[in-house]
Amino acid sequence: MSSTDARLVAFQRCLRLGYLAHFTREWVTLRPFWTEDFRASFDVFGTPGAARLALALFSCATLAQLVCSVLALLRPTRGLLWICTLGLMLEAVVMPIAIPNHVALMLAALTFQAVMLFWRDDEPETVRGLSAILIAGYACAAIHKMNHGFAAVLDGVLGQRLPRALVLVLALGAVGIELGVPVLALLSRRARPALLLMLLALHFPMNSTLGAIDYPWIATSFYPLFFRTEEWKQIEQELARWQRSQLLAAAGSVLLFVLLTPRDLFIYQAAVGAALSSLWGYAVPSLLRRALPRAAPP
Amino acid sequence: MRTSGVITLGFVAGFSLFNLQPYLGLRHLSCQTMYSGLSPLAPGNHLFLPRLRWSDVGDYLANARIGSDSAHPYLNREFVRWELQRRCGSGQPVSLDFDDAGAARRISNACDDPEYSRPRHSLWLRFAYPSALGDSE
Repeated sequence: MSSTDARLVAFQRCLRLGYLAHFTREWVTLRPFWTEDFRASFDVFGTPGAARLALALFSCATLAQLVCSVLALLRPTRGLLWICTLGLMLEAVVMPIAIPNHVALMLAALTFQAVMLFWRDDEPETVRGLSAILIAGYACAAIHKMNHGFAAVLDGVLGQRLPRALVLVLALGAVGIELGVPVLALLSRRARPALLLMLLALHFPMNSTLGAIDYPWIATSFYPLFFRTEEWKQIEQELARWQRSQLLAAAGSVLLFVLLTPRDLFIYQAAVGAALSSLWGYAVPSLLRRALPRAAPP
Repeated sequence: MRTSGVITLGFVAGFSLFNLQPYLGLRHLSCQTMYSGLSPLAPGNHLFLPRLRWSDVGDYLANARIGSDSAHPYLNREFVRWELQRRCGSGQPVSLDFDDAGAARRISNACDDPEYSRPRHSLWLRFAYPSALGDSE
């Protein structure tokens, strides 16, 4: 049986896209799964037998998740969610690298969701808890950035073209947004659309300039959970209408992605990143209408 | 508080604690540290949170190079031990270069130094401590 809360269904579908983004970046772009180097990376498990077992389990886990993610995009049933949850747990245990940050966030969300939906069958608390997990993740990321090296990292990411004072302001802004905006977006119904747009603006360059297509998409998958049920239903109705403003915003978002993305980004990763940008752009007019209350409703 | 509320509180607290592991000296990656500039080198570079150190399992060598490999920004000390033990098995000397307190240090044959060529911890600790950090990908 599927979830009945539209926000949860949207989250589950978006997170499946997040898994596909993760697979594309980690196992197609950074460590192509068909190469000899990839197979050799399982040597970290010690004996050849253990390496072969880990590779076999990894293949089963990722294949099951890929198939179930595609099916869950159409209809996220609880059976499919179980397979995706257990599959990601297995993948995390036998992957030949340390667990990436976005996988840790996805694991926490999926495990919590599994416990709440399959054991407690409590959808409203699942929505609250998942929102809280995202807020905790953002807050911890902000706390980590409060160090002497973050401004230098940001300066490097921005190509060392900006004055030091401006980089410091941007660094403070990034920390402030991660620390405060998600909480405010959850608490303030009125400011929520504008604050979520601010978070989308924060994630956009991660997806384009940095080419990190996995974390931003996984994090933004949680955003439907921030709305009240009736609010989200309205937004979904608007998104289903294929209005010109939404299509134009999607096209503009892809154009911006192309302008901000390094030319040498691997083609598969760039294609997924552009697709994600178009989905973000498609949702922007709905958020803008709510952020600017004087604008005419559709 | 209802059972569901307690479970939520437990998950959120657990996830937050998991993410704060860099300061407990337990883990560096997987804790939402991406692009943070948080240093894996002791004593850390955080503005107000200290970095505890329970053992050398989470130690990293800065600007480290094994043999003729290319240099890595940070190489895990225990990984270096495992890798040197493996390479030293051939009987050939293997060099190790890294930055030590800001000065470049070179060990011509690290196989002779058990500090750098004898593993001390379980291989399974790789889940907490990746071999290299900061490599461009």
